[in-house]
Amino acid sequence: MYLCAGIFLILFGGLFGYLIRYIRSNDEALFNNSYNSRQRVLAAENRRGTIYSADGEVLAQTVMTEDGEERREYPFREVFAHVVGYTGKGKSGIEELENYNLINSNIPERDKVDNELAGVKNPGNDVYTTLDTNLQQTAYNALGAYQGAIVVTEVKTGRILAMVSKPDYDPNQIADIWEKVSEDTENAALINRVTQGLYPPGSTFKIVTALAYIRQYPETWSGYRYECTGAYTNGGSRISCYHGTVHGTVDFMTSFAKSCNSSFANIGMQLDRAGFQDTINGLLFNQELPIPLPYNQTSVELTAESDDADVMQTSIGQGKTQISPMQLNMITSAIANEGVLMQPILVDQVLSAQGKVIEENVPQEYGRLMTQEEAEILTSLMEDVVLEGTGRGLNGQPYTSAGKTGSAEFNQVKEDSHAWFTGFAPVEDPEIAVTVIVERIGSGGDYAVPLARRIFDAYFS
Amino acid sequence: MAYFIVIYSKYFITFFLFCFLACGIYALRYESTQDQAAVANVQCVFLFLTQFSAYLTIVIRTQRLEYLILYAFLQILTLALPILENLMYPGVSRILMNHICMLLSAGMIVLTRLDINKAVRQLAIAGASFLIGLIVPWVIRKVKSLRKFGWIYAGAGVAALAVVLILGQVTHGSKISYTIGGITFQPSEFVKLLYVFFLACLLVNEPKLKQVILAGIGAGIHVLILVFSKDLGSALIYFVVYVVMITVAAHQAGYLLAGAAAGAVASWAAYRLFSHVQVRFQAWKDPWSVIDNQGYQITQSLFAMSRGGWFGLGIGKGTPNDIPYVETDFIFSAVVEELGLLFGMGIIGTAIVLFLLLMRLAGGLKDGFYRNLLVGIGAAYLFQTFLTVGGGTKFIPLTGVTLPFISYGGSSVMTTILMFSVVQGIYIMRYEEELRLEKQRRKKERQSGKTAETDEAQEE
Repeated sequence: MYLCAGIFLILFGGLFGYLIRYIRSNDEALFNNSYNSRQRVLAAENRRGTIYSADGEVLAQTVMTEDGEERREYPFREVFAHVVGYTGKGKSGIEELENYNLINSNIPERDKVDNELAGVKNPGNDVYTTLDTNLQQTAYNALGAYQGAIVVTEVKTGRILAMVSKPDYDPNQIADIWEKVSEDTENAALINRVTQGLYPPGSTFKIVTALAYIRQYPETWSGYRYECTGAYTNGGSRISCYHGTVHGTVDFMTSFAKSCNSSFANIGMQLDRAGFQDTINGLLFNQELPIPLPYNQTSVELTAESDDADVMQTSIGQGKTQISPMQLNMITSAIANEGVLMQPILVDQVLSAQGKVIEENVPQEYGRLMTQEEAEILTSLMEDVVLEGTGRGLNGQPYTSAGKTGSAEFNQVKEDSHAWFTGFAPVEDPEIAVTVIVERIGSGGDYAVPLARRIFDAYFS
Repeated sequence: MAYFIVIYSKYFITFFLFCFLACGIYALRYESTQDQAAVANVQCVFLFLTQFSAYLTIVIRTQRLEYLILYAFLQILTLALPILENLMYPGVSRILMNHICMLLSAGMIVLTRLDINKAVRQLAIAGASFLIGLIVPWVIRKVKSLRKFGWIYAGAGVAALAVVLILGQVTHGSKISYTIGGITFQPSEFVKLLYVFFLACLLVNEPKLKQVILAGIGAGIHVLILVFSKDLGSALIYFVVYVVMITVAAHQAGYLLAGAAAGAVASWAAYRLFSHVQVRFQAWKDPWSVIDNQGYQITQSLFAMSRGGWFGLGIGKGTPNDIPYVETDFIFSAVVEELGLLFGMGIIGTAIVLFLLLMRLAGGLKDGFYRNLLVGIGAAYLFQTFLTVGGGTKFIPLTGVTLPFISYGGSSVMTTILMFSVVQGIYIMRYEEELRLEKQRRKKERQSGKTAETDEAQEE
């Protein structure tokens, strides 16, 4: 009898353990599931909270219309469309990310009962983002009518200061324009290109190739020499420099600063392929990223078995390689922050309507992507790009900066390329990292660098 | 004041339940009903406090008279019943009564909130069942030959189950009920009582292998009919009751192992043979992938529990009606949603203490028949509780049985109350036995005292 009773008690012990674990792990994923009625009930009890920028501007709020209905209002219209997102036709951006907090109300229970009796809704919790309206507006205006994306982060904290994607839409009108926007796959205005856009990295990928080379030739990389004739040929494959430019004799620094494709194809061919693959994966390619928003995973198809043609293409950021602006920005931030990547954050704090802190995101390290020495070498390479290379458009400003341009060819028409720039400033004590991509326009030096400069100008003025 | 109650009642309700539970655990020290009496009085206070705070919240929130009336009737039932029982049978266990009333009340609180009509019906059936149950102790005391009808119980039980198999109505793919004169019965519930009696008869006096096999054949027929009716939850309960009863009656731990092995083989065979078992298993393994179909119930149940958290949303603040069949198979999730996991675990704790009370009583009995009855009833009760709570929370695959005392359902409530009336009858028997022994002892003492006195007198 004791045996049977004991077994019953063990069964119930297991059940209790399971239930306690279940309730403790009870996470927001369950809450946000559309099959869960909790959201609907809360929406009837609470008024959705407000989303603020870091400088205190309202980015999204719920207001009452004349006929007494709730309406979600986005005062900046298209400017914050992707990052703040929309609500109504599903949810996106911060509206989705912070849905749980926005729809819940942490005002005292007493007040809730008062409100219930008075037939008034409880104010939901407010979300205070890391976004800066000035930088966001600058980035938005800089991109103008072009398609593309810009992201600005604080390198020492991981705080995202601006995130712009174009083409855009007006989240105020989402219900009316939904059909048109969601069906237009050509423009794909609903896509946040910063995190979801995948582009060939072009020459910006030379940061990765350079890092691999430095790691594999720690003693001799600075003595590297190459005679550029405008193209590099190996077997049946050929890599040409941008617009067929002949760079002449180049060392490692100049190859990087002038973005010499031929030299980098040569560098790539000297790399141990397994080691190259390790460096690539160490910079978070082909894996999950610590990004708070929905994103697409970037990919580099390079293994120890890849053939020469693939290696040459990969070394200069062409071929099958794909990267998102956000990931390039994270790599850039890590270089600027002495090799350490900070966890990207979009939300500083969540406060109740009465100012009680509900949630706080303290900056934290995600991990070290490279040694401090490697970061310093890459910094000096990128500084040279600005001083005498393709990034000269940033030279002579009141602040110092470092970066890398890219002109990513996405089809066979050579003139057609995406313009890239990724970089940071100031060099001595880096504060922000800026990544710009302008689609189908030309070279990074000509088209992306000026946009980055406007953002640096706005930040440092 | 009204604020205070609406906001904090859920904490008070949980607190009172845990005080109640503490009394129950303390009462496990005592075997006899007289010794339990003092604890029972204290425990009773917590029972009323729990009921009172819950219904006060409901009445304040709804502001409607019918809820107040329902509460009044619940109070009358839980007050009058123990008094009536005490009058009829002085040896009745008040502790046992308290636990039954607490479980019923917890069910009533949730049912009242889900659907007041069902709550009224449940209360009426519980009241009627208690009245019928009042004669059970008398029957047990008077009819000494109850232990001789072994195969008659089995015959009646099998016949009732067979009728359902042939004529029964199909609900949710299982044949489990039939209707006579407008009232729907679920015989697998009532037959459970006959089944326990049948096994108790056959397994009396340290059963040898032959008796165990004979009982096994009878049990097997029950189980097979239930399997064919696709009432797998009940089949499993019947099977486990058999295994537990033979293990305890024969003092053979080996039977338990053999039973577990047989159960594993049978489960595997059932999985291969029946598509609805595969569907249930799939819905348990990954309900999210079939959330629109077979996984809907269980995921809604998981949502409900996650909404509740430790202390619940408060009575009337949740949406438990989202879960299909919440009042029967998933009542535990409704309890957790509005009153919290702590309260839910307190309820399971109350059920476990109830089971342990039975085991405590069985441990002190010399009569194998009564001991068998207690073990069988205890096993049937606690295992069913485990199946329902475990199934509704995705701890184990869902079998679709009710939570005894708490789930809505006339057959279930009546059977459980009748089963525990049998337990009450055994408490009373034991009390009267003790009383008789006490009398005999006193008589002997008095006699020996007299002889001693005369001896002394003679010496002088």
